[in-house]
Amino acid sequence: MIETKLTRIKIKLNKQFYDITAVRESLKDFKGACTGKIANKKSIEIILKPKDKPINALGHEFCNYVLGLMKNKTLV
Amino acid sequence: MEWGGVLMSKSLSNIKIKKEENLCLVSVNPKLYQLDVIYSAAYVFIDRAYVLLDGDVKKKVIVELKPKEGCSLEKLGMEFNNELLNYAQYKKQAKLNAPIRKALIQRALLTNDPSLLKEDDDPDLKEIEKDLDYLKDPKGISIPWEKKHSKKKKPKPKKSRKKK
Repeated sequence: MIETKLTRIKIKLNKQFYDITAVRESLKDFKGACTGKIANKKSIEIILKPKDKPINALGHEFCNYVLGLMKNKTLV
Repeated sequence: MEWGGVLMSKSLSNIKIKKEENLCLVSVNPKLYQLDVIYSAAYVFIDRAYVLLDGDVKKKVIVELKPKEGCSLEKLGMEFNNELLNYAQYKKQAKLNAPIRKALIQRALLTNDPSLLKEDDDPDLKEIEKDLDYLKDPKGISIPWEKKHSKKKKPKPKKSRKKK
């Protein structure tokens, strides 16, 4: 689930499908575009705040990035 | 819809389309398609759509697809189904071929140093060694033609000189 507001984006990811280490890694990689933190570790709630101006579909891009990292982890 | 003499009023489609939100929801039965297969199929769509996984690992996995550019939502869902089938089949075949693949790679790696073969107690390799009957040459194919068909020169009998 992704909630997009003017100043922040709230993402809720299902812990059964998403790996928290991949989420942390993604947050590090997204540092240039936004700041983010994991609000609730139990259900992986992420809050992203775009640095300069709001980026189109940043939340969705973040989710795709996490999925990509996870896939690469299983491949390697 | 009739199927095997039974009237079916229920559609088997697992695709749900939300036009207002520009979303396509594909529900996947995890008993039919394992989680790694779902991940693989989802990964294929990363460049074309935003993918989000939700649901229950044991009961029902819901894959949310939101196209990045103008793309038919129904087509996207159907293509996802195809991709699921593709990866399920790939995984099944890979599992079947795993021992053969392993044996081939080991054989290829050991080709340059056959001395290692003796040290290795791998039963798969021993099986391969048994099958190396191409080294036997019962029909003499490896013998050069010249050698095979050359007439053996019989020693000429010495001519006895007539006494004059």
